[in-house]
Amino acid sequence: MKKNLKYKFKILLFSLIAINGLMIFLSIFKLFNIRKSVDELMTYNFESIIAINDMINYSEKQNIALLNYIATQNPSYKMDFYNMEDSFINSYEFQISRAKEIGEPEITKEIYNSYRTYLNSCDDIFSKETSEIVSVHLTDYYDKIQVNYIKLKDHLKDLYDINKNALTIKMTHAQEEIRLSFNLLLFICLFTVVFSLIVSNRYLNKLLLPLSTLHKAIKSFKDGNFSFESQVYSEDEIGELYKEFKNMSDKIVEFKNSTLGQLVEEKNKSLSIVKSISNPLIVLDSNFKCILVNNSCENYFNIEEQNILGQHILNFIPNKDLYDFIYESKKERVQGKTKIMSFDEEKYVFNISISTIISMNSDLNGIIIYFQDITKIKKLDHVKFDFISTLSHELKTPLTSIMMGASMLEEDSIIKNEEESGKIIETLQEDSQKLLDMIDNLLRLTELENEQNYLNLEATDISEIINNSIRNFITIALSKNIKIVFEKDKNIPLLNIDREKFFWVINNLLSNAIKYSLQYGEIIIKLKYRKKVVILTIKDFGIGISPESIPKIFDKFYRENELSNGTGLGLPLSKQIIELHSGTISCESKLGEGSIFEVNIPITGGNL
Amino acid sequence: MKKILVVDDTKNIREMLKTFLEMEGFTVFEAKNAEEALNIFNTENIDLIFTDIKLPNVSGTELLKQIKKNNRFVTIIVMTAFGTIKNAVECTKYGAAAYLQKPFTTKRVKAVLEEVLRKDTLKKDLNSYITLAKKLIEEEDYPKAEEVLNKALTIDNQNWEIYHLIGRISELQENEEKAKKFYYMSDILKQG
Repeated sequence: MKKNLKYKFKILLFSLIAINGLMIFLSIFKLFNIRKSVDELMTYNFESIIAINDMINYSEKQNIALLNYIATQNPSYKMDFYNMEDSFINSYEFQISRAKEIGEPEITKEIYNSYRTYLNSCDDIFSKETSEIVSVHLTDYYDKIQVNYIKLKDHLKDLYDINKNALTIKMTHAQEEIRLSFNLLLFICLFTVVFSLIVSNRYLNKLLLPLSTLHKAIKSFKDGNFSFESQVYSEDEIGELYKEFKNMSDKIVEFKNSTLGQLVEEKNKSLSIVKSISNPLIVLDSNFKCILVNNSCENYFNIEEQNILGQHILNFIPNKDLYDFIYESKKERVQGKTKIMSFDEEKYVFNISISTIISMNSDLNGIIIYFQDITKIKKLDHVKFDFISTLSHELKTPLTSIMMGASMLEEDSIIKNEEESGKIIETLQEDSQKLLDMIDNLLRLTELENEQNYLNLEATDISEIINNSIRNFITIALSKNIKIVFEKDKNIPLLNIDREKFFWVINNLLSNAIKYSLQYGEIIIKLKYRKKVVILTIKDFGIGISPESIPKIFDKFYRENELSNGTGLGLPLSKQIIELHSGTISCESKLGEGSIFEVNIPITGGNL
Repeated sequence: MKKILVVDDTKNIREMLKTFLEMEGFTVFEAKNAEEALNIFNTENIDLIFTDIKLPNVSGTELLKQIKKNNRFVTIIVMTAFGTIKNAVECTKYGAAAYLQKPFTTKRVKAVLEEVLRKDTLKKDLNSYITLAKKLIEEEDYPKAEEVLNKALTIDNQNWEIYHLIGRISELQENEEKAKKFYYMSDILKQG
């Protein structure tokens, strides 16, 4: 691998080390330079100045020794003088070896010459005899030696100045050098720092950016986002990792798309199934907030899903009992717990069942509330209960008198005469017959209710049925002196009806009309044909029906008054039969004036 | 001779009951609804009423309530085809003496009648015992009074007045503990 990670790190590290090395080298070089110039300063100028100072000192001491000698003639001064000479020469030789400044060697040589001249002039004094007068010596001194001494001193002073100047200049130079070096080093340092920062930053970024991108991608993998669209940065190990990761993500996306597509399809399918369930259904999350409601739920509770998503159930179905029930079920985590509750002021009755959605790590993911609409069932239940209790009452009533009569006959000791027993037996027969009629009618009614096609349809002349019926009742009518009139239009068509059942209906209506008619009354039967409908009216002038009873007369077991003594099933049964023929039956009546029953039969008859 | 009123909207049941009751030696009046029944009840001195629960317009229960409101001592026997316990309990609550479930035989009617009449007699005995006991207390014959009251308790051990009277006797005899006990019982029965 040519450009592997190790190589890259090495380059980065080496370049940083090289820069540092360069900097160190430069610093050492500069320091060396400074040291050198300081050394030079010390060697040539500073030491020269010391030597020159020594020379000045020695010459001054020599001169004093000379003057003392002249004054005292003491030979010890002469000794001092010559000792000083050696020291002076030593200093001079030291100085000449260090004379490097411009004009310095010349002046040094000049000093040597003038020193020699001075010494020579001094020698004259020392060579003279001690007897010679001091004044002579002093005169000599002033005349010959002092000039030379001053000359020497001047030269020394010059040399001192040269060296001092040179020192000053060199010091300034050195300071300048130090300053420059400092600046240069500072600059290099700064540059190195900045450069290192830039280089390392750039290089590290380049190295680490892919890693952080990868980290982000892995993180988003965790959240279910498997797409990874990032270009490959390099050809090193990270580049390889990238390539592999990209391959993996591509494969996952591919897999996901194939399964996800199916899942989405499945989800949509399930959703539309849930939505189309005819009973309301609500899905809540674990905080009782709405996740989903189906169409039926929207209709029943008059809500819209988009408005209530994420809302607490009490916000859109403010029913405390329901909430309590859900709350309890959630707590117990029972599946399919049911409860019957009514809503909307008993308008709807629901059998509510609650299931919980439990995730794989047994957390509660949701609550499903299913409202099974049992309003109709409840109503039917009620109707059934009413019917059965009415029926049992209706059956028990004739049965009571039968049982009483029978038990009385059993204990014949208490029966006083024939007349009484005859009366009892008559009642027994009457009530037995009534019981039988009731059971017959009831069976017929249930038959009709259960089997819609229980009609024996045939083309029938309805007026013939009416005539037959009138013939049936003529004797009873005559006994009450009731006149029966039958009027009919000429164009009455044949009707496709069940002859037998219609005969029963007309018998029933006619029997009622006779029963409720007064003595010497009249019954008018009319048959008309209007707009493809045959209209039959049966009118009596009897006792009539009270307005509040009219709506109830077609109910089972309803009897207007005690006189009726019927089964309470005749009119409901008639209505049922007529309705099976797609017809209608209605009643108009006034109490004390009589009643009109109107039957409408469309000519289609039973052909529904 | 006792006067009985039979109230039922079914003619045959009325007639059968009438025949039977007349044979048993009662004077029988008939009514086919509550209004008629009330009219007869107000004019005749009726001792006992047989009434159906299910009557047109005004129900038998309502009739029972109206009669019991003003005449506490009339005995009423309720007849019904709806044999529910709830119904029976309701009727007894309003003061019906017995409950006759349809269909029934004359034997059953006879048994119920006998039971009701026996209770009536006992009630009358009870009243006479209580009256006697009160009189004896006034005469300060406490042991005799207590004896009479104990007899009364054998007839009806749910009567608060008896307990109250025993309590009073005990109090008068300075048996405070016993008095307290009987007063307490009496209070409970009175409330219940």
